[in-house]
Amino acid sequence: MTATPGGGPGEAAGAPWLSQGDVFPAISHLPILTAEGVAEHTTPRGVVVITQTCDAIRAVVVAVCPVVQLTGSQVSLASSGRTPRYTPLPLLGEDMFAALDTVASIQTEILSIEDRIRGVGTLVEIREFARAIGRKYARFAFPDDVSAWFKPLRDLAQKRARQPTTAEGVTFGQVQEIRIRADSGWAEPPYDLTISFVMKEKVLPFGVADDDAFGDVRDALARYRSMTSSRLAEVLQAHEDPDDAFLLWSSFARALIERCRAEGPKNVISSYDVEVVDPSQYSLESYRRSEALDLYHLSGPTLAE
Amino acid sequence: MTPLVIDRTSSGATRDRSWEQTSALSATRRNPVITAPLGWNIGHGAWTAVEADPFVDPWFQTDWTATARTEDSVPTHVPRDDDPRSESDEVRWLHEQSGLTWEQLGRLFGVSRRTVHLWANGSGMNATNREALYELVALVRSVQGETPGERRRSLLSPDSSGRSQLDTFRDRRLADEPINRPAAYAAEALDTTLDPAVRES
Repeated sequence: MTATPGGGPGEAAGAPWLSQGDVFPAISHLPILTAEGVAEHTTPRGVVVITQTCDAIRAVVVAVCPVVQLTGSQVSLASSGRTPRYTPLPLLGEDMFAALDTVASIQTEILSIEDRIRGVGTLVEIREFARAIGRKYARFAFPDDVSAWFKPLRDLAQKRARQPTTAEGVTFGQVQEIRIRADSGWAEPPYDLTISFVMKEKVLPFGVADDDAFGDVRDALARYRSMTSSRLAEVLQAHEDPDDAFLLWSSFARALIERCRAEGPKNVISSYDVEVVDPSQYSLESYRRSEALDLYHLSGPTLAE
Repeated sequence: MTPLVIDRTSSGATRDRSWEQTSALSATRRNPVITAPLGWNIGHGAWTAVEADPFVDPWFQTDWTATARTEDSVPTHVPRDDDPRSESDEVRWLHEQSGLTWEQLGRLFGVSRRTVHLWANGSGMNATNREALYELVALVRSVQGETPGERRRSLLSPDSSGRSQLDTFRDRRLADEPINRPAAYAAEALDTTLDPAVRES
């Protein structure tokens, strides 16, 4: 790791040398306000700047998070984005992460006299770091009872994340995003939802181009409706017919949501639509009127170490 | 507020179906609901309601009985007595008779064309879309035209303000502000009344 000299002290106009993702290994503690007053939160691996770069370069004060070293299964879970309170700092090592649950403010003047290294390097890493911060702090706060309603889906997703080679694990892994639109608004329950499974690129077949060529699929739908999600996933992974694959995908998604309906709390969701969409077909209008369901982030916050 | 009429007669079959719709809609919508029996003159003149739905929260109930309604005030999404159909039948009828493509229907409902096609094949709809379906069916029934092509032209014809009936239908669905506003960033960047530091950040 090569240290990069910081800017000179006393740059009142900000810190033009500073970027989001900069790590200051020698900063060993952060002040945290507790019931007993200001306490020291130790940061033996240093801290990382999370303030956006174009703000940081003008700022007198920036926000930082602790850098932590994870072990065991935590590393793979955090690396794959399944524990959103951690986001990777690949230039520090594959087991090094920013712990986003704890945030403190530091004057850039202090940072200017400290050794600085980069935590992220490539454009992809920089974008992923920024996206993870956004995911952590800008996600929509679904009503608690809605989060509870989706718990069976979250449990299944987490179970399959640990079994990525099963048919259901592979199938689950092909879903890019689950987006929720409350067609009757989020003001009060029960909610009337449109649940969109936005697939990863190239997963859904291009299929029938001619709009009028859609045929009668009632028999196929009825047949698939009687199958469990795991059975549908098995059939889906072995299938090649593009139109049939779409029906299988739709039935798979509906089977997952049916599980929530059966196991989740009552009188929360009044009715729902479930759709499976290729990202090229998901409109900006739909995007703006929906929120991503973060299956790995529905439970309450936890303290960073 | 325009009353949401579910049923227009006291005939058994229609009313049974309407009670189901009423229950689903009442659970989610705040429109006043009139169930039945209503007068026979919908579409042809004055009508009255003689009974409000006892299952609807009284706060939302409106007694329309004393008020004679004219044709203009009658909501258009009333299923026809002589033609009871399932939701999937209604979607198929809509596709066949409106002259609109699955893609266009999807845009009207805010879902993919495949989703509308699945509705036509018996996949369930949520209550909001079910309500919109009946509105759209009634709209298609009301437009001039003998063929699907002619009805499509009527639906897409702009009025004096440049808006078609389908534009108006879609405008109602989009009446609420979207919860995500990414496009607003561009608008803010061009807003010269904002602090320059805000525009540049």
